[in-house]
Order: sequence, then C-alpha cells, then structure tokens
Amino acid sequence: MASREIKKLSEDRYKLDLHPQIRQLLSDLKQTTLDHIEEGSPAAKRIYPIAYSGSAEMEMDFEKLTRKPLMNHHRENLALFESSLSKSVLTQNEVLAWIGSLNDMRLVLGTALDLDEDQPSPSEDDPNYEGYVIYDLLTYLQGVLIEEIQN
Amino acid sequence: MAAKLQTTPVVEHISFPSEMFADDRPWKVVVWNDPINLMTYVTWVFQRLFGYSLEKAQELMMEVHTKGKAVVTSGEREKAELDAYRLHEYGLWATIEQD
Repeated sequence: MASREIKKLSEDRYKLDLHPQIRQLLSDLKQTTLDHIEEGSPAAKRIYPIAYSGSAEMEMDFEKLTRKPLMNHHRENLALFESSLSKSVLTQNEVLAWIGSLNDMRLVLGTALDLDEDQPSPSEDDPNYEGYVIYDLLTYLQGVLIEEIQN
Repeated sequence: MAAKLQTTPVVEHISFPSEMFADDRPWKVVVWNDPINLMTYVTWVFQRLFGYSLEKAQELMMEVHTKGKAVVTSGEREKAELDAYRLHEYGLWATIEQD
C-alpha cells in the first residue's frame, strides 16, 4: 500500500506529504473560501447557520452576538492552515486548523455545487465536473486527517 | 354582617398555564442532517466538544443521519447558545429550541 499523504508520527507531529500542485490548489481554495466567508455570499450560508428558526428576534440577537467571532474563528483557522501549507510536519494545532479549513472549503464548495446526499456521480461532461473532483479530494484529505488524529 | 375572612390560601388550587413558566423549560440544541459533513467528522466533533464516548457520539450521529436531526445537549438558554455557537464553529447545522 502506498504511504498516506498525512500520517501521525506522535501526539504533536503529523507527516505531510502532498504534491506541490495540490498544495497550490489548497492555497487557492483557501483564498476563495475566505472571500466567500468575509463577503457572506450565498455559498457561505452553511458557515453562518440560523440558530433560532422559530424566532426572528432571538435569531437577530444571536447573530449580532456571534457573527463577528464566528467569522474571526474561520479566518484564524484558514490563516493557520495557509501558514502551514508548505510544511512537511504539522503540529496538532495545525492539524486541527486543517480539519476545520477543509470543512469550510467543503461547506462553501458543496453549497455552490448544490450537493445532495443521493446525488449520482457526475459525468465528465458536467460543467461542474472539476468542482466535484476537487470536492472529492477535500473529502479524502479531511477523512484521512480525522482518522489520523483519532489514532 | 361582614363576610368571614377566607383564611385558606386559594392560590394553591389555581393551575397556571405552562407558558407562564416558559423560562424554566430547558433549551435543546438540535443538530440537523446535511449532505456535506462527513459522518466521521460529526462523530469526532461530538466527542471533542461534549466529551461523549465514541459509542454515544456515533449513536447521536446515526440519529442525525437516519432521522434527520438529534438533540445533542440541553440546559439553560445561555449554555444552549454557547453549545450551538461551538457547533457552528465546526460547521455543523445546530439550532436552539425550547422543550
């Protein structure tokens, strides 16, 4: 079996072995995701979920209180993710930022693609095919990270 | 003739509508199913945020996945809001409602 792209070496050391093109792709995706989060675009709606569906007033109060800290949380995660993109060994904190950042990217991209749980695999003719391939890559990387952090 | 004073406290026999005690009812944090978050990720988040055992976290995750939603924590409103916010930090779709 080929060695994994990400492997836990110890509690605070994770080996990262990614192709430079994948690292570049992740850097680009990080910026796109951050732009959506900061703009509050429709693709970022899953980043800011509604907490009180039964009361507009309570929801307004909750949003007033949490919107900015939530945006800052995602910003900080994405910043730590990007600053560690070129490394070959990640710390536990960086791995946590990677898991969160990959999830943010999946939420934004998945929302933009209007993903459905029962959706069949897209064909290569689909205009969004590249987006689906990238989404699958993000899913794979996040899955590996979750598995490794629990090891 | 003056009416005799009623000494028995009648208030004991009045039943108040439950809405009057709305603030005493616990607030529930509900996590909803979505097509994006991985099952392993949701399980991991439940363990990490609430200290649940793997079994309990998996059980809740499966409830979310198969029934569409699950109550993951409950308590006073302030605690429910904090729990929902932490779930939002992790990108989970969490709402707050009262019992």
